[in-house]
Amino acid sequence: MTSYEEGGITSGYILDRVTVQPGRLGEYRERVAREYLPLARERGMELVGSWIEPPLELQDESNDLYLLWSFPEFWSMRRQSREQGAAAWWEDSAELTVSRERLFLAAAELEAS
Amino acid sequence: MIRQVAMLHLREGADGEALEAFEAAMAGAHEALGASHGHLGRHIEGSVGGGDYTWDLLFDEAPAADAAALVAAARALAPYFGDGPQAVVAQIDAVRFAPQYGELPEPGIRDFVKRTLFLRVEDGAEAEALARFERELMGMPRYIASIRNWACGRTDPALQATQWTHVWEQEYQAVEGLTVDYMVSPYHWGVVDGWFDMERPQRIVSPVLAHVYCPAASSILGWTDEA
Repeated sequence: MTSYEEGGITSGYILDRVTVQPGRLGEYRERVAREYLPLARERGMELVGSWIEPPLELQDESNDLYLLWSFPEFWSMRRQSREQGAAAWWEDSAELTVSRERLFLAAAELEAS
Repeated sequence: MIRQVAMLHLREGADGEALEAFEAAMAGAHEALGASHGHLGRHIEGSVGGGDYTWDLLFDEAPAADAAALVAAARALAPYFGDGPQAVVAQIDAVRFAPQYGELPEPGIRDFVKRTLFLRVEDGAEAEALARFERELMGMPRYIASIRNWACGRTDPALQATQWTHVWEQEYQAVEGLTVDYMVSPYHWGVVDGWFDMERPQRIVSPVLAHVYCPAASSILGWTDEA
């Protein structure tokens, strides 16, 4: 993966932070795995990892689900997302969520001076 | 000063001598329309959603007629628009606005590429989001060195009825400045594109865009400095 310091790059990472409705976390994770993940993989995205915060499922409150994806080429992924109608998946699954944000990240190595 | 930027959509099958006659009639036609400057540029392959030509005009004052009526009243141009036997242009998609934001570090640019993006911010977008979108969009020249000159502004529907809300224009020395440098900049896909991406909750821009680029001999965005 090219680092941000090299200027023009089109690969990187996506971090989705999804605040899930109380009591719906299992259902939401299942839908991500069954519906969104295969389409994402078709357009080159790989799921690097997924996490919940706080680190146990709450009983009457929301958890945040973090999904970290890598992608090899942004515009190809973006074009296929449009062709797949991926935006519709987020709309369809919005009943299970409170809010969400999607962040784009680039690798930034730490170097001790 | 009022700018008019129009995208001209050709009739199906318009080509050859008919287009040559049209282009000849359009050359210098701005004076007959009361404009101080004019430029017609044929779109380069890769342009999307904006037809076949970009037609730029600069007026000292807002014309009384809208873009279509202005053309219809010009004897030398009218036959090329509409339904007549000489007609080649099927649609004029025009916006007008007073010049707003921009920078012109290279006013003497020659034989370059002008890119125009018409976009529509969705009704109901929050003012704070709109302001941030505009700020980030106009931040692009700071991160993409191939953008030599640029202008950005909101369209004025009182001057010309339009579905578009914004016009974002750049001048590049070479087409690769747009097709490569602009596209591979992480500031583009990692910052600005979020306002356009249907998958991102922050999106406020309609997915219907007119993204076009054409060759030009001398700066069009520099007209406002000359006037």
